[in-house]
Amino acid sequence: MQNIEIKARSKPKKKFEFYLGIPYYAVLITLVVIPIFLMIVSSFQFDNQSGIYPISFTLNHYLDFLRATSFVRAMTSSLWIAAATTVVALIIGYPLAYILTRMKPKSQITFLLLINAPMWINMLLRVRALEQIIRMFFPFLIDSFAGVVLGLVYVYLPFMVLPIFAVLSKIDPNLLESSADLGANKFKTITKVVIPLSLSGVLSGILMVFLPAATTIIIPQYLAPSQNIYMIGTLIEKSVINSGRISYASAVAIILSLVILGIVYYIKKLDKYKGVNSNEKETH
Amino acid sequence: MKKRRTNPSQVIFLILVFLFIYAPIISIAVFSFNEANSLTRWEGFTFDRYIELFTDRELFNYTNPRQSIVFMTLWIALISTLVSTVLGTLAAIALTQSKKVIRDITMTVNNIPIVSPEIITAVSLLVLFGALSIAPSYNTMLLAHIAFSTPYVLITVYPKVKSLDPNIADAAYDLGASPLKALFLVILPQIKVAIIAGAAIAFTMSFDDFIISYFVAGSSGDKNISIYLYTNRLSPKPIINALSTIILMIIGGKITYDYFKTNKKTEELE
Repeated sequence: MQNIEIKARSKPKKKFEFYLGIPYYAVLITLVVIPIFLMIVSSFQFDNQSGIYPISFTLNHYLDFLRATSFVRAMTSSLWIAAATTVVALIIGYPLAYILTRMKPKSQITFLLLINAPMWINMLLRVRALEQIIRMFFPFLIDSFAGVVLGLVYVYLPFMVLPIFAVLSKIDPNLLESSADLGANKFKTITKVVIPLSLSGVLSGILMVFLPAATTIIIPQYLAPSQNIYMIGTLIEKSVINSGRISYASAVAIILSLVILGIVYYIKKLDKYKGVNSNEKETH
Repeated sequence: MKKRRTNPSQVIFLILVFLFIYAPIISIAVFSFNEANSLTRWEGFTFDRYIELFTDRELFNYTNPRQSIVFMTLWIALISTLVSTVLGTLAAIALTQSKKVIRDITMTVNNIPIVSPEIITAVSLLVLFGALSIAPSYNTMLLAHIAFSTPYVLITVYPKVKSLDPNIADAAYDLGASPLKALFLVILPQIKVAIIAGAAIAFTMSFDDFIISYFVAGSSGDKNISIYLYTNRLSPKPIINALSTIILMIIGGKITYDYFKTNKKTEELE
């Protein structure tokens, strides 16, 4: 009864509040949905057409991937570099997050802030700063695979630390004690209790580092200026900015999205302990 | 009791990590005072780079702000923040009143620009402007910034709107408030903090954006600070260090201020 009354009363208000969303939907449709649709259409067009109007159809750009070695090379080197970055970021980020959870709450806030703060700074400034340091102390890293990975770790490390810290700080300390009480040593507690419980954080950290690392433009341009390390971002940038091949770039972007979707799907599937921690939290 | 102690190897690890994070940033600031036109060799202390910076016609053009990179970057960040904050906030309020299907679809589409790599968003916007024959300029840059900022405002504000007690707004209606009055005097004040957080994200995203701006406006010669930094990457101008240092100091000051503010709050709570 009460519910019905309230609904009847708030009808004019509901209508008003519905209209509030219209400008947002206009922006979302014209600047997000339509561009994606046009990008798909464009990827089947010949290049160097004015507008999209003389609609044509070609599979050339997609067939290019099978023929052109530059694409395959760029794709594989991007995936390799991103994978190496993710591994290094995990090796540094996991212990870092773990050490943070063992600190007093107040120092936790301070250290988290210190890890986060650089993310508010323009990425180009940070990469340029790193380039300056590398040229000063480790010039042999310029134009190397390791240098590009170092740059990517430098920029994306916070994305690994934060999700891992979030799950680690939720683990009930009693679980660690009971593991010790049941006779597990420290190493066993970490491998059998802490790591499985933090898996969901690790996986989201992996995604948050891998994806931007695989699609970067900036870092190889600064840290490998002779362009011996050719990544997919550089390929797209070159085809758009230097040669104006927008249709080809669209096709590359679509293939890239498909590869990324596949990786995201696969990693999400690995997350078998999802929600373990949050359930425990709720029952407390 | 849980052990809170950090052992020496952990301390060394922490020092190395923070050295890795902060040494480059500090070196940028130090070399902004370098007398030599070099980024690796120190020759003496000077403020010349700052004088050069503020007299640089490309970055600061006081007579014609439309030609000034710093001014235009701030202007675009300001306008796109304003537009995206208004659109995102209103949409968040509307969304709580719509059907679950619409809500789910909206959230999914809203997440596309957030989760997809910037370079893909950049290509899609480039295709859009090309198809509509809109020439690349600061205008396309502004539209693009509105496009990627609005979704962030929505996901920042929406959870707060959802957590509001609907009875409060209903009470305002019962007491005779018009929908507009209820919006401005009842709903918006309750979600103020979330709106400010969303606006801060939108501003930073716009101010720092590179890839999308570069793709949609790069070919026109209209530059924001990021495009300027990128196109000058091979001829390292020392004034860039001065510009960077000023930006670093503003951000650093803001973060420290927020830090001491929240610290004070937690102390008061204790």
